[in-house]
Amino acid sequence: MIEIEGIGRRFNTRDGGSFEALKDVSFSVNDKEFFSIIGPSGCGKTTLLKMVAGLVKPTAGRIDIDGRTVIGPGDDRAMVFQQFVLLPWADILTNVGFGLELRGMSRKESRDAARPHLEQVGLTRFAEHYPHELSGGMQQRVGLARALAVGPDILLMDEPFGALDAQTRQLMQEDLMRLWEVEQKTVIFVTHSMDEAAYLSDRVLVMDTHPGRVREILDVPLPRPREEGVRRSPVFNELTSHMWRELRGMMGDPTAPAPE
Amino acid sequence: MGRHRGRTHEASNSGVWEPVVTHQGEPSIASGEPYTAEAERTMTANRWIPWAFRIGSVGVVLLIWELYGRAQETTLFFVPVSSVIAALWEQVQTAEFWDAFRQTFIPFVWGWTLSLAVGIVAGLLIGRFSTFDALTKPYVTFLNALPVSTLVPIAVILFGIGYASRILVVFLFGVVEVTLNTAAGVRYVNKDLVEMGESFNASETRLFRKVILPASLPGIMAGVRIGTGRAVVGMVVVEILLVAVGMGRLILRYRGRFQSADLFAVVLALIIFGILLQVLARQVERRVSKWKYEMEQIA
Amino acid sequence: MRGMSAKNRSRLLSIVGLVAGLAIWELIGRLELSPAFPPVTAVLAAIGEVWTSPRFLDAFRESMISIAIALPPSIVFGIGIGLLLGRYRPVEWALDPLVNTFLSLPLVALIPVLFLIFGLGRGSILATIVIYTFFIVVVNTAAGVRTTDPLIVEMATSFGAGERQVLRRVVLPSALPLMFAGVRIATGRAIRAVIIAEQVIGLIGLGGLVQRLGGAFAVEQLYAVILFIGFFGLVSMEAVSTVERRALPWVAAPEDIEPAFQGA
Repeated sequence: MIEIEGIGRRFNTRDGGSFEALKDVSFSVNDKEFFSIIGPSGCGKTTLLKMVAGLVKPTAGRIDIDGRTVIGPGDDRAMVFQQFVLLPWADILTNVGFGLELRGMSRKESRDAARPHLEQVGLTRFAEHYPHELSGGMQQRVGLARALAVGPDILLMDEPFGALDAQTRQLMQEDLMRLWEVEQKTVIFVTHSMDEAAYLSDRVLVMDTHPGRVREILDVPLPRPREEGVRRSPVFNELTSHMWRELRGMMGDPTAPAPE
Repeated sequence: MGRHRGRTHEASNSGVWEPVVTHQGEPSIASGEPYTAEAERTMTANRWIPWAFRIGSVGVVLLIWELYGRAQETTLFFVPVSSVIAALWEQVQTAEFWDAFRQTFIPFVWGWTLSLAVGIVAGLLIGRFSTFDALTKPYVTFLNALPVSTLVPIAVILFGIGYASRILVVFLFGVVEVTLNTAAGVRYVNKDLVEMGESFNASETRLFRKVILPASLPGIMAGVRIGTGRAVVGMVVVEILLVAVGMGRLILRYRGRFQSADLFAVVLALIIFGILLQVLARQVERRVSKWKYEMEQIA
Repeated sequence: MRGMSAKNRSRLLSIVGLVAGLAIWELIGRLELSPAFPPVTAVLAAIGEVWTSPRFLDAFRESMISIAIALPPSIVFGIGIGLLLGRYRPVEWALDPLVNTFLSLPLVALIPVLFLIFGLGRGSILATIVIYTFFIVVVNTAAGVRTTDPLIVEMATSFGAGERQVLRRVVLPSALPLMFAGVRIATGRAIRAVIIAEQVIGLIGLGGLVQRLGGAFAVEQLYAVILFIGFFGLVSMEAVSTVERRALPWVAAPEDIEPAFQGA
């Protein structure tokens, strides 16, 4: 279980002042839960994710995972990046095993250990190919396989489908759901897309901006496993409409209805 | 008769819009292939035209050189290219030429290797650690702006006119570019890659070895290529300023005796050597940085 | 130290590095470990004496005259040829191999040849400056022309612009950043060229002065001249950068523009 308590983050600005990116953010994520974070640009959701990853330190508050406070990256968490961030000089199989290599395995061992995960994402054929030979969707699957290969309890996904076109994106969402049903990991998923958040998650955190803070946490009462048709259900529409109303208000749209 | 756009919501019974196709498109032509003989001919013609121009212009220059050389009344100053080639051909068959070359080449190799070794290490430190960068910045900036040939007299005062001062000069010529390019290669490693490595909890050494170093390799190899070019320049500077031995001695002799063809020949030999080394360095660089070039083709 | 911004911190460290290096040099000088390393204080004393001496000022003027004569025409013609090369494919095919050849070879090697042809005088020095600078300007200008966005050209022609207007109003402004980069590099190279050529002759200009002081083992004065040359190089590059920044208000950091070729 992940407990985020009173998280705040200040940045120093060039002119000597400071800027509060996150203020008093508190929530918790349950084991094996698919938890999305959505919010307008600049609300600090990526910063928050990086804090859970241990890449950024909070200036206030703390994050506990199963009772232990996060002080840096760890074996229990793995990240998937929006820009994929694969090693351009290494082939796909090496890329999938790279997380293991960084933790001390030899190249050969990590490549061997990576094979099943490459198969999990359906790219066994491309083991010896290079990243630039693959499409965006395939590259992101490699990124996902790499994260799964280190056997984390928690997957941290930073707008992983943001760099993909709409059609690929939808396919990837469905693939992710299928994979998640099997792997049963805790996932914290940052996104811009309300449809995506509603389709994938058990709960959605809607963030406010300037400074970034919790606006509300929504339950997603949709049946699992999530089928494609669920996108057209009335519950889905209600949920996304609600999210849109909230977000729109935050983005300063003059035609938005006043916040309740 | 208007276009049939499909039944509207009111008109249908089922309340569902059904697609009605109003226009059937043509099957797409296979892309990328010339589908007429005409197109094919134009494409092959376009490929050899630039080459014809290139060969032509080099030929024109050589021709002008030859004619102008022959038009000279005396061979004291300018000679036709054929004489130069002939002179070079004769010289490479003498032991004296290769002796001179060896005496030039040995200090070059030492100075060059040293400049690569020191330059790469310094560049790695400067690129990775901003403290080191700041501490050495005044020296690197100054050395980069200074014509290194001005340091030759200092080298002579320090080590005399033997191999040591020559090695030092070649070293000084090469080391700055190697350092600067290596530092840039390290500094401009994609930050995302570093962050990804950190997210997997990699130790500093592992991060450096497995992410930063491979990612900086193209920059380092560029530095090697440019530094090699500079080292060759240093080698030639040594030959024309410290003339006791080597090719420089030959140059001085032929210039003194106005044996122009022989002088041009030695210069040509040095130039060929420089170009060969550059070509080699570029090939190595291309091999090592293959992934970067391929990436940039896609982008 | 912690409260300082990163920029100030690095500046401080640079000063520390400089002072430390000078201190070490002073120590080596005082210990008289080698005639090649006189104490810094002696060099500083020599600076005052040398930089104001008529001998030095004459030499400086001589070098400047050579650069003033050779550099501007080299730049102007270089830009002209570079524009043609960048814009018209046939010109590129014809001249590219020549330009690239000259850029790949160690130009220093041509100095003995130039001296043979032009004699041991100013002529050779000017020729050296020209070959060092002309091709660099050509290549960078051509590269600048090639960066012209074809969409902007298309837009201009759609508004009825002819070839002349396209050149003047679209191609030239697009090419300016790289053109300036070429001029900036050429300036540095002109200084290198004039110095090395003068060193070979050994009699006139700053290069000649360096050789004579070296031959006379007048180390303190030699360092004084070397330091001047180095600083002069830095200052001239800064001057060109300033002009660059003024002339290119739409470019954020002109000195960061990656030049097409720096040459050996």
